[in-house]
Amino acid sequence: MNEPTIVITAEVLPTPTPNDALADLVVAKLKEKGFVADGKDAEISAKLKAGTANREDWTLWIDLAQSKKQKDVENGEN
Amino acid sequence: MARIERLVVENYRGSSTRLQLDFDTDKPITLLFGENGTGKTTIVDALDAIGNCSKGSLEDKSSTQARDHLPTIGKKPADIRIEVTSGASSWKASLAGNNLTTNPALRPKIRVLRRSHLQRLIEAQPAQRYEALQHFIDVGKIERSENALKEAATSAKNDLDAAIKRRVEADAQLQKVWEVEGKPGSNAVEWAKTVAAQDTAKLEQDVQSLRLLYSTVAKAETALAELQEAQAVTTQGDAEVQKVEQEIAKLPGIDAQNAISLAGILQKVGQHLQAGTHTDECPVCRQAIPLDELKADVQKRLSELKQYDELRIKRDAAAQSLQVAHQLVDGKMGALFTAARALLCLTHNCVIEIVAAAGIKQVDYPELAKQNGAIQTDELIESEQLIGIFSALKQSIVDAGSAISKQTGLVSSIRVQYEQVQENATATVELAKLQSALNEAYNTVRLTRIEFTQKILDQIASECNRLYAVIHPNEPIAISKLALDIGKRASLSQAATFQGHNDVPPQAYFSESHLDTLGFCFWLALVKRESQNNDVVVVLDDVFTSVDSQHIKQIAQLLTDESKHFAQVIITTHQRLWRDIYRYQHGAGKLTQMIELQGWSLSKGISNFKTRLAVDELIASIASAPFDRQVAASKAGVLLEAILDYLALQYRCRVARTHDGSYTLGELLDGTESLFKKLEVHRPDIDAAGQSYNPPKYVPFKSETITSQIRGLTFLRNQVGAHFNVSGAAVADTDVQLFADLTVKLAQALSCPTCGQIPGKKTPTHFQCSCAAPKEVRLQAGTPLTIEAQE
Repeated sequence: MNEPTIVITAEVLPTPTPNDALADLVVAKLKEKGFVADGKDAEISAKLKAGTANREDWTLWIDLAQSKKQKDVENGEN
Repeated sequence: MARIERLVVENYRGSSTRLQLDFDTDKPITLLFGENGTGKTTIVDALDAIGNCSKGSLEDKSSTQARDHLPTIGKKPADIRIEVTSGASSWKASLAGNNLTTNPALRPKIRVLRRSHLQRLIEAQPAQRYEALQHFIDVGKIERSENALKEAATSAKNDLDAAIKRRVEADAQLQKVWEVEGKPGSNAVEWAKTVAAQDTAKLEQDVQSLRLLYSTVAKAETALAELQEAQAVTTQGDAEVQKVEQEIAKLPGIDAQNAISLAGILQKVGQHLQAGTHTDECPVCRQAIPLDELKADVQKRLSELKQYDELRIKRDAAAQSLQVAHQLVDGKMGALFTAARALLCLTHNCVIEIVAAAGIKQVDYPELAKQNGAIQTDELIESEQLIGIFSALKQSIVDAGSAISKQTGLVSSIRVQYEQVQENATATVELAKLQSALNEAYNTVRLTRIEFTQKILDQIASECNRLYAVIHPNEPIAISKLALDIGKRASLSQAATFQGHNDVPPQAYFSESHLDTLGFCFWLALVKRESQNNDVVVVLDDVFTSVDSQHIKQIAQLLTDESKHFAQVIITTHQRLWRDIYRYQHGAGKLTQMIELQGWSLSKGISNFKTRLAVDELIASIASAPFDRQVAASKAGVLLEAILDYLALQYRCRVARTHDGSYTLGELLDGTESLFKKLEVHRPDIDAAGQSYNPPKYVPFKSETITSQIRGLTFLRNQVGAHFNVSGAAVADTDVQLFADLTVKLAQALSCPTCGQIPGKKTPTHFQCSCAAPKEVRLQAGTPLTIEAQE
């Protein structure tokens, strides 16, 4: 017997797609927590939407953001 | 997408002849009513083919082949024609092999719910349920990136662990060295810091100085040894000369010295005569003598003086060797003095501790201190003394060099270790920060994703429950949980509320009818979410067969209210009740296009007819010529019964009980008499500009006067409309017409001119029609809402 199928399909997904909407939300949350270095929003957002952010990307992004945070702290102390 | 205007189907499933359905695009709902086997499913399948490339009702049926069974029996796939027109767009579906395709490929959003699919969303496995919802919650790309972030955090953790291990090892190694060195300082790290700070360049310089000193000493020692060797050779040469002289002195006869001298002369003469050409004369006295005689005479005499000549040669060789030896001594002497002076130079401002400790003073070596010594013997003595002192220091120099080299090695080694400890400490701190940040970022992404998808699921569940509560008001049944299964991929778990229990599987406790409506609400909530631009055509294929009449009315009302969120709602049903809800204006009849399918046959195909509202049919019959009094009386009576029955039920009026639950017109009129005394129809008032007031004002109207008039004419319904009898024949056409007119008047007075509904949506104070405030028409009969409660 055929496997029952559930008749819900959509050729045109809602705009923006859940993936895109979530990507924007994730970038905003990461930014709020200081995990996005200046000027990196667009790159992170684009790679999240494309699903191509890899391990090295994340390490670089977070490292950059951490360095910036550290620099800000040092400048503040000075 | 706009509403579907036209559907043409030919040679597909039951459409054995060309079927054309023209939809009324002014109406959001189309009701296709037809008894079983009239072609409803064929129409739905055609829409499904266009919208979803789906084989429709054949999709789940085994032993069927699309290419064989989708074409009408006796037809081929190429004969199939399915065409949908909407505004300027049109789509065609065609069958190739077993696959349906739509052209153009960007299909209209037509979503079909069938009876057979109704409970699947509820009963489906979590993975299947996820599949159904994944369009709304599919964030796979984010999940991929999230997994990469998790990997980054794990990798950073591994790096951190490795750095900690290296740090521990470096610390342990340093500790060990520190302990070997006798635990100097407060601790290993502090000690290493001090050691590492030492200037190894200075130590290297000291080692170089010691090496230079050692090499200078070695050179001087060599020079002295070579001089002494040369002096020994001179002494030996002297002895050799003395020995030859003694041998010469011991020779007998003539003066030996003269004989030796003569032998020397003759030797040279002989050599002279041997070389070149000569005349026959003596080269000394020039006396004429044959050359051969002269050569023979010289040789003869040399033979006689042979012994003397040999001693001469020996003496000359000894003298020459002695001379060479003396020259060598002079050279070696010079070299010795140079080497000794170099040593003496090293003692000047010497920083080498060993040399300083030896107390060598330049004044003690006056001849060497000069650029060129005047007295060679003194110079020689000073050189030998100086070299002797330095020779005695050689081992100390070697030891000092080794000690410094060892110290340099130690400093370098400790420095490397200290740097490693420091580097590992720094790396550990940096990696710990990075790993912590990556972890926090990962948790942020993960929680944001979960919250995001859960919010969507909550919205879907909430909408489903809201819809369900409209159909089943005051029933504590709902979806209590719709959540992603965190532990599984693409899995959606579900639970429901039942009798106070909040975590039960609905399929285990809900009745068939409740499951059907729950499945329908779930499906509608999903499709509504998809229809954010009000662009989805909803098709319900005879879905509500298990639902009772009261709930069908609720569902009809729900679909009317929700239809504004969709491009179009198309309902097919074999239940006459559905048709009657709209036809008799219990629902929004003017918002609903009614199409009736009748009597399918292979030769005739699917037949369809437009169905009008009952009141419109009555108006038409009144206006018909010739006037058909029987039809008018009959239709008026049925419509009147339908209105009174609806109101009696809605207001829970007291109607005489019968065995079979059917009531006569008179009984219904009696039962609703007290209702009509109170019942007011409130229509929204408009200002001079034709606009509604804000807040809205309503103009009341009492229909009691109409029903009072009708009461005296109800006998016409039976006597004229249903039976053959004498008294009926006596009734004038004008009375029949009055009865029909009053019925039309009542229907129009009670119903909304816009949506066509006799208000039936319950509020705490009144019933209202399907129009949105402030344009809604209200029925008001006091409070409590029902007559039963009031009495």
